[in-house]
Amino acid sequence: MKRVLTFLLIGALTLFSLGPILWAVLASLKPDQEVLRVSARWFFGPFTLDHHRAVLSDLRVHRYLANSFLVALGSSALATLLGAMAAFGMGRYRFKGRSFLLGLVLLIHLLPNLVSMAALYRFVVSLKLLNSLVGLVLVKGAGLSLAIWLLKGYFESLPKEYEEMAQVDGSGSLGIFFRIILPLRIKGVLVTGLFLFAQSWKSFFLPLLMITRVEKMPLPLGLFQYMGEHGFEVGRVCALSVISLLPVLVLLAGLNRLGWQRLRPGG
Amino acid sequence: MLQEMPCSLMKTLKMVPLAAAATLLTILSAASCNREPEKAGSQVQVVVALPKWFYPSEESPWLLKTWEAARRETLGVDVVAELVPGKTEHILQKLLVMRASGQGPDMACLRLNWMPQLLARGILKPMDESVPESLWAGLLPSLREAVAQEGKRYLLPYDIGVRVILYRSDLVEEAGLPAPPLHWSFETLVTYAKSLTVDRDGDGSIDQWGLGVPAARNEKSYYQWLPWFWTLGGNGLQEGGRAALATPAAIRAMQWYWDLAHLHRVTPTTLYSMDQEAIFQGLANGLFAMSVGGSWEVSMLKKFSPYGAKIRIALFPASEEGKASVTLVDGWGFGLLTGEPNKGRAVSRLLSGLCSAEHQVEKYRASGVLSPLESVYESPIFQEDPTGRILFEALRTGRAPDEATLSPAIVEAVGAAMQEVLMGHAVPEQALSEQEKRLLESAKEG
Repeated sequence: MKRVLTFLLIGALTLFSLGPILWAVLASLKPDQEVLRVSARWFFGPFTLDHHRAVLSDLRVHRYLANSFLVALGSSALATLLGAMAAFGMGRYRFKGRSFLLGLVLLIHLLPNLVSMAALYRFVVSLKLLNSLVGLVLVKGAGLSLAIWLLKGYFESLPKEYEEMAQVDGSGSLGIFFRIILPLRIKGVLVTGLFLFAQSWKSFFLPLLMITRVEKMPLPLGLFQYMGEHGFEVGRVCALSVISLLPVLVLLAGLNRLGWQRLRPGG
Repeated sequence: MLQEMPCSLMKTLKMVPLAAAATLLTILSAASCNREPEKAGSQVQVVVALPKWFYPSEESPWLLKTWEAARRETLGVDVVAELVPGKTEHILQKLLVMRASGQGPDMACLRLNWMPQLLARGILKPMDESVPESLWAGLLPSLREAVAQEGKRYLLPYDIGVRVILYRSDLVEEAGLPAPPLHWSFETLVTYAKSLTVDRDGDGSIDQWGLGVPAARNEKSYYQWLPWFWTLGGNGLQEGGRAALATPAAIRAMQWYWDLAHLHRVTPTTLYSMDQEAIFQGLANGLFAMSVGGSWEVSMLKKFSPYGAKIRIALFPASEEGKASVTLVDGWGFGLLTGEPNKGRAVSRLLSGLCSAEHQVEKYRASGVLSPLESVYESPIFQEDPTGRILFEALRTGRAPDEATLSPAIVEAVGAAMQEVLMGHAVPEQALSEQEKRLLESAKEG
């Protein structure tokens, strides 16, 4: 009985979380005039690939996807690499001001976006990084706090002996990090990278602030090209949203295929 | 443990830093290829921030034409259109962040409703010198007042909408009713709504409601409630700068919502959970036969509703036969954000072009969106079209919300009172008095 209840609860929660995605998938396959219909027919009635075709044949969409990919990959790689190094330093070494630094990192992460945005915007303007994808990569890539907090504990749990052995062999801090710590904790680093990639992929407000040219827009901004003041092209927006999920899914599947299971943490 | 890892995997992992650096470099260099060179020149550059729906592009040739003509004819000035993607609220957020950082565009297309808060933050600058007097004089009377404060004008309306009653002509015909008359009353509206409230499948529950009214606790519902309040004789919700919510008109307007659901039974009793989008969808999918909505919804319904071709509009009803209704007029306008007078004067040609009768008629033809210019409604496109006449009548008698009506505290308080009333927790007078008291107390503390 307990098992049945557990399954029912899990089933209900799964349906609840997948519901919006299912709705978006179905809406992307419905003709315009059927999208807002409320009846059982909605689930079975006429389906079309018109919205997907229209979106995929729109050259702007190719640009949005490419821009998103560049920004998400660049910023997540930058943030993961720098974040992992910072997490290693903060997790493995004791130095003056360490706790203060960690607290500061957490504080920055907890600060409401809007508060820091005005200062950030001024900074971006003064560096002439408006409408620049490099600027977006750098600004997003500088968001290390999440990576530091995710990875710090992960690095801390590794026995000290590895470092001591490497030190005896003559390795410096960077050598220890890249040759010992990173390989042993690669799974966590990759998961963090993937998490940051997904976060950057759907990031909206920062690109909104920094990008105004259509040809530089990442996907979340590009979606709004199908929206008007009072409404939007439901089918096309849903089709584009469904398409935008694919890269993240492909990345996950790719990691799995590349031997995800073999990358067990050592130590 | 290190030795337990497969050798090939170890080799691969050793390449990680190299691969990461290579990826990063590739991406940064690819991204930097997209950077555009800085524009050189001694021209005055005026940056105008525009939402997507007013951005000149091939999707809006009428706008592109006017924009390009203005740019050509304004020598020595480089007028740059800057796209602000996103929804209405994103535009305001971005603008506030940009101004807080001391940066941002020189001019922007803004919602008329934002004027009080932008003025309070010192963001808007007077536009009297940037716009020819004839343009100000040609605006609809309600808008002329709405864009002025202390003798100065701050926004030039470009694109407006008006609240109306939207209805399904096929259902009205099916119920044996004639099309609603130009001037009608609350009583006639209720008669229509009762005839249109139908249990179609005979299961004992209503599946087609006569009237959809948004009453969820948000700003949009508040704006839809204002025409009822004004039509019932309400004016402002403040007196001498103090909140005055429990006025007879506000009490009657709130009671009217309750009556629609519980006395006349022409709208669901759960209307407190229905926002503007739910009402729009309800009309689009046949749940409602009539609804309160914006004039702009007609073209959207034509596209997205299977019954779109049957959608018609009617004026807001008057409280009694022989009286006039007062509906809400709002929309978008251009506002100057820079204090530099040469930039203000530089956009004069552009604004004259965008607010010319010719451009406005073309815009209406292409998008169905209404013009703020009174003279436009004398053109055949409005005079010969019954819908055009109804819209003009609504605009002629409508009004734009003033500063007192737009106060976020008032909007919130009315929303809270409405929830209390529609959920059956309080009667209108009690709910409004409590909110009024709360506002007065917080004003005293603050």
